[in-house]
Amino acid sequence: MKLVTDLGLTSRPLRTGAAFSPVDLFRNAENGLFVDAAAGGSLFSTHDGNVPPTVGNAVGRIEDLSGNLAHATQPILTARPILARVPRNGLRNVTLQSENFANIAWNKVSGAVIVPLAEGFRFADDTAGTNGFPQMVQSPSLAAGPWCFWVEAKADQTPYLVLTDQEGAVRASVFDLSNGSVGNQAAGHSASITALGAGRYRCAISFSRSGGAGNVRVQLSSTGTSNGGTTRTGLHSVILYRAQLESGSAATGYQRVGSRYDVTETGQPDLWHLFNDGIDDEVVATLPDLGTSATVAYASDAGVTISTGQIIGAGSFGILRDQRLFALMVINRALGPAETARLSRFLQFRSGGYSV
Amino acid sequence: MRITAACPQGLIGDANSLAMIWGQCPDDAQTFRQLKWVDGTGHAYAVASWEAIEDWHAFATASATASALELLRPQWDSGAMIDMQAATRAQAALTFWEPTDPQTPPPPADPGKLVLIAGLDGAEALAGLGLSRKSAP
Repeated sequence: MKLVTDLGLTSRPLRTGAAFSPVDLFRNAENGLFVDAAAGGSLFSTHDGNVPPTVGNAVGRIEDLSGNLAHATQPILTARPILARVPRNGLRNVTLQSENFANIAWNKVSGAVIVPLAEGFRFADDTAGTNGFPQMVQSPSLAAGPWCFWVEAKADQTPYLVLTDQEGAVRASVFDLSNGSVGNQAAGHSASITALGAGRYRCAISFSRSGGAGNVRVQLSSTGTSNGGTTRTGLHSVILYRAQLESGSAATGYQRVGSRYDVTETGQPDLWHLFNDGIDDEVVATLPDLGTSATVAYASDAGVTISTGQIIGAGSFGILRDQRLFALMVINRALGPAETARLSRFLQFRSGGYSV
Repeated sequence: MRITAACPQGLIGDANSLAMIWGQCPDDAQTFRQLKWVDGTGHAYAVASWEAIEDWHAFATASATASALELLRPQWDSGAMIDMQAATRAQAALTFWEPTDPQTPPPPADPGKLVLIAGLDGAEALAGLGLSRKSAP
């Protein structure tokens, strides 16, 4: 029998009490394993090492917490999953990097120069002397539907900031950071600007996508027009602080994206997990024969799954499930209703409101 | 930066020697394992995908040009297990692609090349390479 619990944002469970841990299910020396990506002390970068990974690092060893020493390992460097975290309330900001504009995730074109400041980054043009409008580009895959792209910025040597989206033709809206106004709203955009104090503004565009390839851009303009073409002198610049690209037509609370594996939000606990690339990643434990009544339970980005009546013979057992694995338990017996309920609550707590 | 590498059948031995230089132990000789993927003309490939450090980007960029960096035997290989000549052959067969603007599409997998795609997630890279999972016999 296979029970699947769907996890929507509205079905967030109550916190599992400290009284229960899946480790409790092994109190009678049952065989199996229990791994938990939130148990930082049980993860290691290499399969035989003792160096704990930091977020974004590969994980080569995951220690079994059940007491059975069925540790899962991956000696091949390229086949290790990545230690990752997302906020408990789910992933919204799909930029590849939300506030380090110097990072290569922001592809700089047409003479874009990025200078880190004590707070924020100066986004300027170079002095190549040719026409163009410096841009920084990200090209994440976006599903069909409404999207909102916003950037917090302040005027520097020049006041104009341009935000574009492209799926086919480029659509560009212009913001004037000197007076907090929308200078030009592109057809297909809903553009808005919100004062945040101290000359800082949140500039936002919302638009609709059909699910094809495309990109979003942050662009300079010296003239206040969307094409902004002018001689580059190094004297055109704005200050950038952070960016967010999210599903829906309205800006929501900021999620910091340090990398695709490191997304955090103020006030939201981190959901630690193992990110599986879906190509060659695997981490394998060696299990004894668990018989024909084993239970396999895990929390992943597909929800909580508890499978009973599993036949698990002696040998290798791969632990990764779906793209994001939060925790997994295997035990050589069926669980009672109360145990199943407690385990389900525990796994729901581990995977939080994250949904695919 | 995520790297996805498509290794044709004929280069697996050489590419695994190169992977041992990237890697940390003899097990990295199994980086390119099963020929699970095929291109549109039926050529089979082993694919590996991993998160690379920034230094690796410089290595791959240079390797795909005439200014290839000299390969050095890693410290862990005190027993000279790695076939450095094979690794050098793999390096010479390396084609490296990363997103640019205006964006050019990734190159397709090549039965004579070790094609590396940077900056895309695994599924996007496979699509760009034109590879699909080999159907079960």
